[in-house]
Amino acid sequence: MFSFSKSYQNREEIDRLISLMDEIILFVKREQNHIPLETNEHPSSSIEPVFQKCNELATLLEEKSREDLGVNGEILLMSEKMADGYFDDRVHLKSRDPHFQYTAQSINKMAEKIQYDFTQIIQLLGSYEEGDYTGALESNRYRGGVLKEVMKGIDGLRDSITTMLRESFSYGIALENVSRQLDEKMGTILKATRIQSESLKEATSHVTHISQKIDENRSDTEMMQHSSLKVKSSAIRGKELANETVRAMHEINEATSAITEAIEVIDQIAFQTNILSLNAAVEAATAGEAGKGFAVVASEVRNLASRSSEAAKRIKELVSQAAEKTEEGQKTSIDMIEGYHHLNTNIEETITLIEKTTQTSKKQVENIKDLERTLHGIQSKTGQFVEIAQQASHISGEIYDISHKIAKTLENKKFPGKEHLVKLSESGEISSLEYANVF
Amino acid sequence: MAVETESILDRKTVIVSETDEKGVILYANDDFCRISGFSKAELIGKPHNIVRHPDMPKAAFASLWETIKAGNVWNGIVKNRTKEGNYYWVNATVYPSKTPTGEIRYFSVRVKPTDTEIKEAQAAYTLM
Repeated sequence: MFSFSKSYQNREEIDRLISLMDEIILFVKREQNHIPLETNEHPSSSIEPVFQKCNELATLLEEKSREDLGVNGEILLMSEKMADGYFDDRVHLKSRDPHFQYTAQSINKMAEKIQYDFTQIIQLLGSYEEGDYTGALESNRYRGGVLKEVMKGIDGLRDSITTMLRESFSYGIALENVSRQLDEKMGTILKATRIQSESLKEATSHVTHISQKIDENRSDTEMMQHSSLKVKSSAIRGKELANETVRAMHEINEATSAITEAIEVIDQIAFQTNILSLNAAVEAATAGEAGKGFAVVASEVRNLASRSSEAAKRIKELVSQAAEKTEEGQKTSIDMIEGYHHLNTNIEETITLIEKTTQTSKKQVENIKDLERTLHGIQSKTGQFVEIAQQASHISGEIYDISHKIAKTLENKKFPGKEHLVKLSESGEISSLEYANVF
Repeated sequence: MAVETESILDRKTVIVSETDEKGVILYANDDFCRISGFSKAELIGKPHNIVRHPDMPKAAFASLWETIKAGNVWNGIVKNRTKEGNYYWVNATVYPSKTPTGEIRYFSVRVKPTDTEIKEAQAAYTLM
């Protein structure tokens, strides 16, 4: 009876144990969330320790499952956060399962590292944005893969930006230098061009003045030519008159000789009349009283003869004087003719010279007019040139301003190798594009 | 009045959310959104009772808060409401945890409850 009851009791306990095992199996298979524990109704039974162990196992499993569910939940949520872009979460709950705990720690480390590196990248990109390219990333923190590629990519970007900045910096400085020189030179050109334009204006006005003077000269010479022709005809007329004078003098001379001969006759007549009067007087005296009246007549005749002789003598003297003067006049007229001859030759020469001068003056006027036109042309070109030089100077000023701004902008940037370039620029070694071209 | 229908979770579903000390949702996983019908944007920053079903007695939540505030893990069967006004049952485990900056946060993991668990809970909540 005891044995029956014992065996029955055992059978019942085993069934309950199996049921507990089934519950555990369902729990492990996640078909239920809880394991209801079994209590032994026969604490003195020899199976009791098995019940106790099974319950202990069930409790342990449930506790572990609960812990793991928490850790798993944190890992799950954290992973989804990372997928959404957030790397700042960590698994905080702990599992007593060392493997699971290791997994949680690895995930935490991974998130930590990625968070750190992305923060570095953000900071670095921030400083790049502000123009500081001195910082770099530690791409050797990753063995490979996309993160290493990202970091290498950023480094590469930094390298190319730095190279670009070095080039721009050097070109900027060189450009600033060259454009300053250009601006200075343009200023000089503008100044010179203005002076040139002013001088040209002055020169043109001088030439215009000279041209007017030459034109006046030309009309003067033309008048001279005209006057000299008049002088020439007057001289010819003078010579003719002189010739006529010589001829007239000659005729006067002949007339004078005729007068002298006539006077000789008168003088002889007077002489004979005087002798006749003397004879008459003698005869009268002889005749006495009868001859007294006759004697008075003879005396009167003698007086007349004497006065005639005296008059003839006087005329002779006058004629002789006249002949003398006539001869002088004739001589002078011949000299005059000679003089007129010389005068004529001189006038001819003068006319030739004046004609030559007139021709030359005409040519000169033409030439100077040409020169004037040319100068006016140059002046208007120079005016345009001044305008262009002004514009060019303005543009070169703008270029200098822009290059200065570029240089200023680049001065605010920081990048490796900048100090070296600054030193080079300060020592004037980067002053031309040729140098900058080295990069 | 529209008839409420039940959404039933499968074994693969794990609903996870974290709240701050006051129960404001800090983050929710995709399963939470899929089952509740709310988007992450709609959930984050809202109090967790956004999914509370009117059938749930206040006392149940009082016990939850008391447990987790004491630093212990709470487990219970909860009826939740979806955005469309339907409901779903979960076996919820809430863990007190900490944020990386050291502030207290609560972590809730919900899995599929068994039929027995739902029945027992329904019975218990009716009495409460």
